Amino acid sequence: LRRLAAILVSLISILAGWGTIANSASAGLITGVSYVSENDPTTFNRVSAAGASMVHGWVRWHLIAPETEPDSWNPRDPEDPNYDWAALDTWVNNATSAGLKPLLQVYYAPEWANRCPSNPKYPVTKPPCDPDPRKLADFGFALAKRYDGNTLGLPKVSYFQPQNEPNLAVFFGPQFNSKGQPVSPGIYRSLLNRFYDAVKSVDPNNKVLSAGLAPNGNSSAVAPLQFARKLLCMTGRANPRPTAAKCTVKLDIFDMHPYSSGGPTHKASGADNVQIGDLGKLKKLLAAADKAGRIKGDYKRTPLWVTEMSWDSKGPDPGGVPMNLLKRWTSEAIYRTWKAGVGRFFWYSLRDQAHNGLPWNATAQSGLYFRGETVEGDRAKPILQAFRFPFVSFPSGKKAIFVWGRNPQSKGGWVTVQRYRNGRWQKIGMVKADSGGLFRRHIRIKRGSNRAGTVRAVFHQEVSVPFSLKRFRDRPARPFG
Amino acid sequence: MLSLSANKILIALLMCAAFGAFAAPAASASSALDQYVEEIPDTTGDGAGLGNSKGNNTVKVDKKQAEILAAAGEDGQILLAIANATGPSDPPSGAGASSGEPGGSDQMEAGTANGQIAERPSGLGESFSAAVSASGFSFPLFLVVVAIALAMGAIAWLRRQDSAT
Repeated sequence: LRRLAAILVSLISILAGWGTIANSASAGLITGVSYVSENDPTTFNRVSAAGASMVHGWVRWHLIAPETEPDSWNPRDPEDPNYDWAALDTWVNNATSAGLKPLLQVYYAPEWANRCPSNPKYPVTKPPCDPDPRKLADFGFALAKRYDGNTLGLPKVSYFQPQNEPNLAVFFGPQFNSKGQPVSPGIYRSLLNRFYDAVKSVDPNNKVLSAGLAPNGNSSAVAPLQFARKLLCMTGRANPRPTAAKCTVKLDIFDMHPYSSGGPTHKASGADNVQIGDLGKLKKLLAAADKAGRIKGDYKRTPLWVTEMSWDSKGPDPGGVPMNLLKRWTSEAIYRTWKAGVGRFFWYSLRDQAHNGLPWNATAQSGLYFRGETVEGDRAKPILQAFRFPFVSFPSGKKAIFVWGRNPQSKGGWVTVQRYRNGRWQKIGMVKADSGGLFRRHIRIKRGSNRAGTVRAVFHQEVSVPFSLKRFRDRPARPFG
Repeated sequence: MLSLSANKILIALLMCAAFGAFAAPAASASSALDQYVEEIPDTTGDGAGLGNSKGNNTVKVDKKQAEILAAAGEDGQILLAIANATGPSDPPSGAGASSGEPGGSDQMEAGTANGQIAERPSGLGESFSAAVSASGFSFPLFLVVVAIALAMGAIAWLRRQDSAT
């Protein structure tokens, strides 16, 4: 019996340990900045200095490819003279020189690649309309080949994504058929599968992300959960299960843009909408799709990434979130996303968009930098530090606080936790950050004193933005003011 | 034969394993920009609240302004696209239309036992599942651990009874 007991104890310990390790492996956090459109070294150095290790950029298919399709050319050959890669080469070189991993998103489509007229309601974005999957795949192949690390001395790029927010009419069409039924998921599935094969045929280690989905459905947008179910050939909102259709979707990573109509815990009111508080719904669907064998990708459990999230700041946008609150929301959004099992978080974007006299709610002032006349003239916003060194603290029971954060260097080491008390910062504990810089711990403090005050983290003399222990109610907010 | 102290140690180890599993770290631009705000009913439920694209948040760009933007390179064109894309929308369809739940202003954050702020589970079962799930420890594995711990406890108790008699 003693031997049996020893075996059982060992088994349980191993299983418990395995659970912890498996969990830890999925619990890393890498940050990025999305839609970096400037193309100068300063910009990318700032992204890197923001603690990010990834950068997300647009690949303007319609500008790289010829305006009219040549009678004779090889669209799969990145060195075909009809392609113009100059701007993208510079962008990729600048990104990698700053130590960043690029995520390249193919957007737009040359008119000759569309199989129906672009929606005239959006004359400038010219959303791709049912683009020919073979033509997108050819371009995807040329793109992956150009940045395979063995071509013309250009850097290696490993992350590729076809299109943006294909559930929104402003970025992709058509969305619905004449009966009002969503058609975009099926159209997008064909595109994604072909693109996947093309990019993976260049290098099987490349990763393909499905396009990030916009958070809300309406008359011109398919709600993201509904879109995802149809894309993945699943049915059932509460208990997702496979449909009878024979269907496989090829992707390595699922992407969501969970913009919130409130704060970082906000849940959408629409059942099929996905805002930051609803990421669990999407995780559940993905898990069911994985289990049903719907997703063919590199991972047994398909990772979920967030490649866009932000709020406009009040200053400059009068309809934005007040800066002090936004500092809290920035850190907390990263924490909430991580807590939902999402390991990659991208902020949209590095610098505020130009206002140009337009209404504030038509432009995004969600940058980590206030926009100046030039990039050099941009000024860091106070939220930059909350993004670089995310840190949160919440009361835990009656005599402890829970702290979580990621140090700016994303490195292991000891982090000091301090609390502001009696007019000065006092150390209340030390937390060991893991090799990715993540740390979390419950710290005991004087009974009943954990509902007020402010806590911060210090790592290598760098301090996080202080985080109040006071509870905050969710409040309505518009992501773009 | 297992001694009483060995039983105690075994049970303690089992409890530690089970508790350790629980204590494992948690796992870890139609109306353009208006599209990113959900249509939320106001407090009367009439739907004129935040982000309603039929409200006053629509954007108009006059012809002159549009020409300036269109000539201002890609950034200007994107801004123009966003502005042009902003306009009154059609009535919501079934696709993702709001379920009519009230907005989030009444969502008070609720502190949990471990200090993290969690969504309110709807019932005991859901709470339990959520707790197990958040611990990163699979539910079946948890049941196995609990069953073994109970079995070992029962064995220990029986042996104690035996030795007492």
